[in-house]
Amino acid sequence: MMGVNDPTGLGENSGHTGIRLENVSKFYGEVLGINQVNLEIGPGITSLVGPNGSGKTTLMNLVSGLIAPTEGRLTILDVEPTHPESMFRQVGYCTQFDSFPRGVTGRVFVRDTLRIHGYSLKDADDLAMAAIEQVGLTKAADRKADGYSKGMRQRIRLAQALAHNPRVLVLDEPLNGLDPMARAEVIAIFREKADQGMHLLISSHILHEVDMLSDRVVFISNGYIVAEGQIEGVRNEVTEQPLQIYVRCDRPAELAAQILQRSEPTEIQMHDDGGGFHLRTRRANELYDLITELVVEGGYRLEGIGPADENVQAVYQYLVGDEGVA
Amino acid sequence: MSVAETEQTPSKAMPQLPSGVQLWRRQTQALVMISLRKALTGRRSLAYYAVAAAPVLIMLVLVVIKRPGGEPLFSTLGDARRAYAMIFQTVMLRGLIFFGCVGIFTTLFRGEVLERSLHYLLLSPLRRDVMVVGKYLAGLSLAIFLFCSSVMLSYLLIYPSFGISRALEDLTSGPGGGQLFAYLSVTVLACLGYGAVFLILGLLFKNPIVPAGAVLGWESLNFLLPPALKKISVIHYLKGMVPLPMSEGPFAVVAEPPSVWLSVAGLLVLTVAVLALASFMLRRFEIRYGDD
Repeated sequence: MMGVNDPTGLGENSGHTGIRLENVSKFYGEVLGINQVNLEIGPGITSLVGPNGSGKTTLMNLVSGLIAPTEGRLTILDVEPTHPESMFRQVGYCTQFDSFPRGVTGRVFVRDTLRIHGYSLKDADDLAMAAIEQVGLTKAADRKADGYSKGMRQRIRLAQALAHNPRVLVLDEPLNGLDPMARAEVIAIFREKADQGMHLLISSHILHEVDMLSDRVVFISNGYIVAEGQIEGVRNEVTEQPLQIYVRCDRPAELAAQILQRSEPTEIQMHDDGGGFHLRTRRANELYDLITELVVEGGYRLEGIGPADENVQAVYQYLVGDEGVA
Repeated sequence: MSVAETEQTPSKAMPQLPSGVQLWRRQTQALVMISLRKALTGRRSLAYYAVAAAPVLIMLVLVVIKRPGGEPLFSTLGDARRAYAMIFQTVMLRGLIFFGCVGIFTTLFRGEVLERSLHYLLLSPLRRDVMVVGKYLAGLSLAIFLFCSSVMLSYLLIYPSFGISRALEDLTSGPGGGQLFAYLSVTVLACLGYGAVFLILGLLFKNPIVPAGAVLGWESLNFLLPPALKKISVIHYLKGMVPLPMSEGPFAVVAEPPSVWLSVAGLLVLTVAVLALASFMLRRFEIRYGDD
């Protein structure tokens, strides 16, 4: 497994243990859920990506205590899931599944959860409305929840998970069913919570959104963690795949020819519009230096240069393939 | 990197929660109220109401039916009481209350799994024993409300043929009041005992109907069991408390019925033991609604 230790730069020094899995395995009879997972998740947004059947939901369910590990140890903020009365004061879990009792409004749905936490009716109602306001559902709060649209259901579940102000938030496909505006709003909520020091673990198969919102990514495939860390770090460790760099400039063919003369890129591919090229190399730093030198020497007008595959989508393809993602 | 702070900044001041027993009491109360609201307004509620209404309808029919000469079906209050005793012990105790408890208590947890809503509870900061007690009390309140109402209304229907003053006299100074109290007590104890048994069956089995059928068989054949085995049943403790015991036929193995106090204590011990086991099981309970 590849890994970048403490990619947030905070985990080790912050005093938070966050979510910690030590040699955690889960088997359903003889079927593997996840195997020998070691993982530490610090504050910020960590996304869990993998194809269907990879073990994402198993990992989420383990973290939330809905299922127990067959082997290994799991703690959240130093508390084991066998102590739900302590753990769920600090953890909010937004599942993919919902079921609203008949006739219950969004407000009552969130309030009921808080009442089970032990809050008085008034406190529960105040907290419920604050959470509902946070997810932008105030106007629909007193409508029956079973009549909500998919996006509204997603948001009311998020309100329920947030309402008790947890320090750890586990979200299973939280952006499903949301329209672009709602997605932007929800992502902003996640960002705000992460900035406040909350630990967010998000599973998603929408990779460009994972790219946009994550501080770090955990790649899971066939029950194993295949890589984890900040995406740049993970990409750098995929050494068998040469790094892809794009260059946009005037006279791209001339610059590409000069690069070929003075370096050994694995591959150069001109863009269809003739305004640039992609090249692949195993020695990215040297190549960046060379391009800088050539641009200065040759007086090229550089429009853009940068890594073309330092994103979740590309890394996912290298590590897992193109199965089951959007 | 956008994580700016190492300690989480509270985004809102959270109200204080009570602790210890006060917290558990508040959580239990909330769970009972929420579960009761769900049961009384959910899809199954009509079935519960129908089961509870059945004895009342039976008694109404018996009140309306006349003998060929126009005489009421029950010529004396004694006849009416014996008829009620038979209906209570056969139709109500072994039938409607039994099946009503199957419906109410097996669905306390299994129903939530089927509706994909149990995770809301399992993800709450709720001790598993508090959860079991809360759910059980919700089921018990519903069962007692339904079946005690049913017993009371159906019992009062033995009186219309004899007039209000006779009814009042029987209930206040005659044996009627005591018998009604005994029937209500047996009903409460039946809900208590069967409730505990069916709650655990709902946790143990994905389809609790088959084991519930086995329990029905065991309870029905109780009269044939040797005295030692009779004690491992709910009906054994209830039979000794009914005001007018029925004959169990020539093949029955006769055993001394337990005293009232032993019956009450026995059913309470059974309930506590089953709830403790249910709490233990719930700590190891896993739910998976879907695959990865």
